Amino acid sequence: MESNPVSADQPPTDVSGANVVLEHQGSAMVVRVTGELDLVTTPMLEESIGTALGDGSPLLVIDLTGVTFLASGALSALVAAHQAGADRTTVRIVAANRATVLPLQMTGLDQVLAVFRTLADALAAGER
Amino acid sequence: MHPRDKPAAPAARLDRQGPASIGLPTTVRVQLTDWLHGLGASDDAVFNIGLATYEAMANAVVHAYPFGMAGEVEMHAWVDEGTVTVTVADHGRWKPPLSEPDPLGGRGLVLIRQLAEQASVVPGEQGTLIRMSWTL
Repeated sequence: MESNPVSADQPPTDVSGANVVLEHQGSAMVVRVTGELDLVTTPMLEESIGTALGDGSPLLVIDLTGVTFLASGALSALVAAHQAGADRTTVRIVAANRATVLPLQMTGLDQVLAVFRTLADALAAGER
Repeated sequence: MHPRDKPAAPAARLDRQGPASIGLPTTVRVQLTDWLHGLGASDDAVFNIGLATYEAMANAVVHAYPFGMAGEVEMHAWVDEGTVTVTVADHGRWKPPLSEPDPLGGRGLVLIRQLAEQASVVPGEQGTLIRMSWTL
């Protein structure tokens, strides 16, 4: 049985990638992610989280509503954000679909991280 | 007859291998999910098999070949009497994090064990083999 080699040298054309946008919503920072969070795109998320935490806002919401694939590396980035925020910045996650909710539940992180169903809920929960 | 002239029956297996890179798991996952949709697998099954296989390949890329070390990763998937089996093999020496939990590898293996109906991780001198299966 012959295996078809996959070239790693050429940029894959069938990968949708991810888009990460950082914005202010009142006194909160929102990192809004769309697309797939895999080994290639997770560093973009980590960079935006670092920028957002450096801003010193009391609340950081990482909105994964538009994320269609979430791998364990991205879960680690969310945990790192939660830990880095510590007492200074409250970190909340918005996860609304199977692709994001299931990995959070299966690893028990939905009990460790503050997970909300909508961005409005995450913002309305107040700053602590 | 040229292979392309055959009726489009889904192949009973999918075999991919390539040099370890951070893009390889995604490239293979996309091909695997296309293959599974062609077999008529449910969306739930495609999600579970796709993510578990991604995590197995990511483990190989990150742990078997750290710091961009060169090496091959192989993925084999086949369907037999309604059961899909996927194996992912590397030729490196990563340790399955059973005795020394690693935040990344540990979580990947947790996902694999939850997503697969059956999963085994076999470390060996020649590399590590992860074998997973699902009933379609």
